[in-house]
Amino acid sequence: MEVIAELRMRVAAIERDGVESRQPVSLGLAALDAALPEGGLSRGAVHEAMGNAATGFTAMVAGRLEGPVLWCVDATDRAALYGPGLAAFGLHPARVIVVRCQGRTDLLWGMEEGLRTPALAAVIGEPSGAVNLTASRRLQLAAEAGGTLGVVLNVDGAGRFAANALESRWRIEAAASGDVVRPCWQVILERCRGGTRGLSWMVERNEETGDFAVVATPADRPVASAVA
Amino acid sequence: MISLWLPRLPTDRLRRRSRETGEDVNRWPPLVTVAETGGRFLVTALEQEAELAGLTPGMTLADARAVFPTVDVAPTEPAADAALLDRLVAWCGRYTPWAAMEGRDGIFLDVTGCAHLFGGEAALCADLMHRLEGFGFTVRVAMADTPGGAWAVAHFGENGAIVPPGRTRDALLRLPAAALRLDPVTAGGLARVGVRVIGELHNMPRAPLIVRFGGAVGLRLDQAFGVVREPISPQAPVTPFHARLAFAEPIALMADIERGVRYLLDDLCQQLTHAGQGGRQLVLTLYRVDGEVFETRVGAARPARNPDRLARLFDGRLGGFDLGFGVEIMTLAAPVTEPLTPTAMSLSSAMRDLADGDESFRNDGMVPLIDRLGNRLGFDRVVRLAAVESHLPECAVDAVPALAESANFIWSPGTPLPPRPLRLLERPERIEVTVPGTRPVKFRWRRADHGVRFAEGPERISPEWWKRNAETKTRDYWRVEDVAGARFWIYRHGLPQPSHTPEWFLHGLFG
Repeated sequence: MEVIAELRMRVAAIERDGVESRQPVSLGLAALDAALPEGGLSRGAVHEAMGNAATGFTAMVAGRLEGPVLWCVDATDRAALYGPGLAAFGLHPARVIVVRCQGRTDLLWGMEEGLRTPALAAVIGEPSGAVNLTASRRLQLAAEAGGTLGVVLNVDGAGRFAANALESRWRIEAAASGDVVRPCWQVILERCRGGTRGLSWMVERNEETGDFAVVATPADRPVASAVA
Repeated sequence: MISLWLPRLPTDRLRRRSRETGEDVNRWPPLVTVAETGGRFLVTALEQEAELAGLTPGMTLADARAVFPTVDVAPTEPAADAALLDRLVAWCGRYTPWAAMEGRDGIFLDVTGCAHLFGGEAALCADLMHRLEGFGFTVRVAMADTPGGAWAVAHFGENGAIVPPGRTRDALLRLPAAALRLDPVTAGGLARVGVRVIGELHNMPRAPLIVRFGGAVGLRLDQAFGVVREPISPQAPVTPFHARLAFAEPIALMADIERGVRYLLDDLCQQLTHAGQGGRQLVLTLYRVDGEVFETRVGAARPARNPDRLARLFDGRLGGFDLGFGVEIMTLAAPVTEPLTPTAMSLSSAMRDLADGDESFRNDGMVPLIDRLGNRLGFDRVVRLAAVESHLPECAVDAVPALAESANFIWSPGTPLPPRPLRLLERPERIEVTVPGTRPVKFRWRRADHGVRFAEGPERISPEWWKRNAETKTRDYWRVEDVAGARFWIYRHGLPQPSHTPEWFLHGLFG
C-alpha cells in the first residue's frame, strides 16, 4: 500500500508540472479534510460547489484564507451578494472584490485573469449553466499558473452532470436544523480527483460563535419549538 | 488662430465617396446637392464648374437646370456632412489639440504655440491646405489674431492669407460687411443703408447701429478686432498633459507603434511627475497618413505615472487598428488625472486593510488585475461592498470602486445586527403567507410551497421617514427555515390592520 501511495504522490507531482507543493486549504473540519488526498482543498486548482447552501460553504472556505478574494457574478443575477451576510461567514466584505460580468464569456475570462494572479487568495465564479470540458481545463491551468484556489459556484445546480476537469465537486444542501441558531448543511463530496467519492456529512454552524462542526444526522434529535 | 472653410464640403464628400467605391469620376458632370424646402428643390452646394456657369447656392433646381442642363443632382445629407466635419476636426488634432467646429462647414484651429512644430505659421497653413486638397477638399484657409478676423479673411479675403500679428484691423477694413458672420437679414439691412465694407461700419457711431440692428453688429466687430475675447471651445477637452510624436516617414509596423507608445508614455509620465499627478485615463490617438484617425482610451484603477504599468494597459488595444499606409503622428493625453502623492503611491489605508499581511498584495499585485478587469468590463463593475448608514437592508450596502480609499466596511459598529442573509434579492418578491397567529407557518414562493419549521422574529425595521420620497410602511422581518432546511428572510409590509391584510415579501436567502 505504501508503494502505491508513494506512486500516487509522484504522479500528482508530475501532473502539477513541477509546481512546488502548496499548502492545501484546510476546511477546519477534520472529517472533511481527511477525505481529501492532500488533507484539504488543494490550491492551484479549481473546485466546484453546488446546491442551495453552496454560497455559505464557499464563503466559509474563502473566509479561512488570508488575502483578497475575487468573486465574479453575473450582472443579471437577481439575488446579489450581501455584505453583512458574507461577514457572518468570516469573509469580510473589505476583502471581496465583486466583478459584475455581463455574460458567460466575460465571467470565465475574469475568473481566468483572477486565477493567474498570485496576489489573490481565491477566485469564485458563478457562471450560468455548466462549465464544459474546455472551459474547466482552462480554469484549471490558470489556477495552476497562479497557485490560487478557484471555486465554480452553482447555486441552482444546473448542468450538474457535465463532465469537466475540475479538481473536486461538492454538493451542499441546507438540511433541517435542530436549533434556530444552528443551521445545518448536508455536505456531499460527489467527486474528487485521487480521493473517495460519495462521502456525506452533516455540518452544523453555530451562529453565535461562527464555528462549524460535523454532527450526527439530526433526525434523532427532538425538533425544538420555535424561538421568538 | 486659423479659420478653415470647406465651401464645397457636400459635393467634395460625394466625390470622395465615388472615388473610394471605384466609380469613374469623370463620368459625372458638375455635381450639385439639393434640399427640398417648401416643395421646391434648392441648390445647397455646388462644384466649381457649376459656379463658373453662373449657378449659386439657394437657386431652385429648375433654374439651375435652365442654366446648365446636364448638371448632376444629389440630395443633401446633412448628417453625413456633419459626421465628416467631425472627423476632420479630430484629424486637425494632428496640428493642435484646440480644434473646434464652426458652423456646418468650418473649423477653427488655435495654433498658438504649435506652429513651430511645422516650421512656422506659413508652413503650417500650407501643409494644412496641401493635405486637405490632397484628400479632395476645396479649402480656404486664413490665419489672424482673432477667430472673427480669420473667418472674415478665409471667406472673403485671399486664400491662404496670414495676417501678421496686430494687423487684423487693417486687413478687415476693406472686406464686405458680411464677413462679420452676420445673419442674412442684418447683412441685407446694412447693404440697404449703404454700408458695404467693414471700414465704413467701423467709422459709424455705435448707438444708432444698436438701435437699428441690435447688439450683434457691434459685438461681431469687437470680436473680429479683438476688443472682445471670443472663446473657442475645443471639440475634445484639452488636457494639460499631452505628448506628441511625429514621424518623418509614416510608420506601418506595429512594433514601431508600440515603441512610439513607450516614448510618449515616458514623456507624459515626466509631465505628470512634475505636476504631482497620476493618470486615471489615457487617450492614444493615431493619425494615419490618409486622414483616418484612430483613438483608443484606457483607464487605470488607481492614478499612475509609471510608464511600465501604463504601457501594460495598452496591451491588446492596438491590434484592431489597420495601419494602412502608415501612421504619421501619434499623440497621448491624460484627460483624467488625480493627485498622486508618495503616500498614495505606496499603499492607501484601504489597501492596507485588504493586504492583511499578504506580501504579494503589498507589491501591488492586485492593481494590474483590477486595471485589466476594469478596462474590459468597466470600472463600475469591479467593486467592493461598502457599508452605508441605513436601517433599510437594501440601502445599507453600496458598491464602491474596488480600490476606493475611503470606504467603510463595518456595519452597525457597537450593536451587532441580527443575522443577515448572504444574498439579497434586488427586488423583494411577493409571497403568499399563511399566518394563523402572529408567526408565519407556510408560504408560497415561485410556485412552490414551503412549510415553515422555524420562524425567528419579528425584527421591526421602520421606514426612513426623514428622507424625501421614503416609503412609509414598517417592515417586520422574519427569518424562517422551511421543512427542507433552507432559510429565507421574509417580511410583512405594513402593520396588520382590521381593514386589510398586509402583503408579504421574500427579501433574502441564507446559506
